[in-house]
Amino acid sequence: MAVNNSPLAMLCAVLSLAALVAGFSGQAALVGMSAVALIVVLSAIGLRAPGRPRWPVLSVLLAWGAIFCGLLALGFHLHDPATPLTTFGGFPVGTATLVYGTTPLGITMGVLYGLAFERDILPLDEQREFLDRFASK
Amino acid sequence: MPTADSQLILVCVVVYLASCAVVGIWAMRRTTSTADFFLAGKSLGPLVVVMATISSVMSGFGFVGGPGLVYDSGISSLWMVFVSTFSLPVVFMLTGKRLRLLVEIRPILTLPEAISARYGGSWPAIAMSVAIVLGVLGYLGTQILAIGTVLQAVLGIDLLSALAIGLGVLAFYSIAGGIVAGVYTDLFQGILMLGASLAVLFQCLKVGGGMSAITETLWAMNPDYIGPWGTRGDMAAMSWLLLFGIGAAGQPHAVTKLMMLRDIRQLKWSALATGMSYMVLAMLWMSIGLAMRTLVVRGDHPALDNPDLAAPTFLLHYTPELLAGIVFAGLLAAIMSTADSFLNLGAAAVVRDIPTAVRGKPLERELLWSRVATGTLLLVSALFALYMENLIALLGTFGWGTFAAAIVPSVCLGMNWKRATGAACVASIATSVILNFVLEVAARQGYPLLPPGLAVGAVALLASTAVFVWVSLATRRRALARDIDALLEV
Repeated sequence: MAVNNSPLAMLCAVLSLAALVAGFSGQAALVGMSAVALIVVLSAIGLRAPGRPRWPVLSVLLAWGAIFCGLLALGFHLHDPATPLTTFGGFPVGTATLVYGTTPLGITMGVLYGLAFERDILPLDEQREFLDRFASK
Repeated sequence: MPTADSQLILVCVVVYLASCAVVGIWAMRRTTSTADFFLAGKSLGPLVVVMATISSVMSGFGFVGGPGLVYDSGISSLWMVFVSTFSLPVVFMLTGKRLRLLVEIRPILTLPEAISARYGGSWPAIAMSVAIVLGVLGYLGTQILAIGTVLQAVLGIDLLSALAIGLGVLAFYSIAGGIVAGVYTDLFQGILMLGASLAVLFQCLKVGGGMSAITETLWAMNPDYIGPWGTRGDMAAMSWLLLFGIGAAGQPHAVTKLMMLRDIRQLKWSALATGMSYMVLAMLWMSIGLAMRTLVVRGDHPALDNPDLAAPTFLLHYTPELLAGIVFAGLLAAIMSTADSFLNLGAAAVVRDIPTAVRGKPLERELLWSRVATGTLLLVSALFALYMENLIALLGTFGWGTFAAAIVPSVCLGMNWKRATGAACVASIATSVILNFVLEVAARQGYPLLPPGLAVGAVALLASTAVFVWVSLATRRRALARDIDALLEV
């Protein structure tokens, strides 16, 4: 079964244009959310391999993107310089979403790569078969 | 930069420089071929690769410019670093498997060679080599200036003498030991700096009276400073999220490290380790900037003339001497590690990539010429840095964005998408170089073409990605070689 990443590549192009339009229109939140969507799509492209069901990895990526966008929205909502200081974990609440929300969320991407490696990214038998056929002797 | 009067700091820096020379001698014995010189003979374990990657990505900017940016504009610049927890794993997702498999099936040592194998023809490799040489010259120039500045402060000597000492050591180990010397000095430096970063974080919290006290002081000064976007605003923060969150996958000094792994299966947990290690290093970036600004706001320290003085000032005045010595040595090491990675990339482009693309084969006596090219590049960059400071500042600024916009589409997308074409690769690299130059020069001349806060590199990355996809769809694809076709299916 051949890998066809054309739909995802086209989605990358569309998201890039959307982020550009958002940037030139001064819509920072949209730039941020387009960036997150691009990261999710690029990761999905990087994790795609033929012949294996991808829904577990793809659903994790989609959930990751949705939570990240939610945290960004929360940051925009919570930060109000006109109100008295409210802190969480030593930081203003808006900043705390970045420090205690998006940072640990980012770490899950490395965990996902590690967990998906044997099954989805490079199964050992597939690696051996490929190298047996093509590796320089 | 303030001058360090401490003998202990001096000892730490001298010990570091001496250890670099020793590693250089050891690495010279292990470097017997160009494969060793450029790719460490594909013999590195995961710990070395992780440390070498974070050390070369962090650079002098991370230890000087980073704290300076936090001192200047608060939380804004954290959007460059916290993203590393996922941006570095994304590098592995997009490039790790296929690039590492590619070097098993073809005699490939560099990124332009990988591009050439992927797309065929000479233009994609030439375009990539040119982008790399331009970026390398800028990055090298800024690193060389930083080496001189740091040694000047530590040794209390003039800039030229400081440069002679620093570049002498750098030239010795990078010419003698190639990338082998580079990565093993990175290993030493990385481990040292991970510990030092945590120690500096605790020292900053102690000096500032705890995070809550620091926040209260900074909120009273300006709530936006300690707010989630910092004083540069939400657009700058979001465009840095984009540029650094995705652009890490386009940094050749990070991507090529993955080609050096001994065993491809060691990629598995290296992604997580790289992201987390970089995050720990970034604690130094964040904590020093916030603590130094707090001290100034409270009137405990006079305002700094230049934000870039935040790190050296804090280390010299508010940390124990031994810790300051370790961090100064680490700072020098970070700068030299980035410089040696770029020297290696630049030498490969000059000696191997461009000749191979133009005449179909690399130079004769390649190892010798690689060493000559490394020395020549160092000399040229030093002259540029000393006598063409404006050009270096421009190229230094444009380095990250150009690499990101040139390499993310052509390598990261191209290695994962069969429909990608060589014409699209050349078009996206040209878009990257031209947009980065034009937008950066216009902004420097007082004619900003972008809305406030929108990063030049982010615009170039988005534009080059769109160009890459559309040109790929609009142009005819060459038939792929059987092994490359199979590689894109793995």
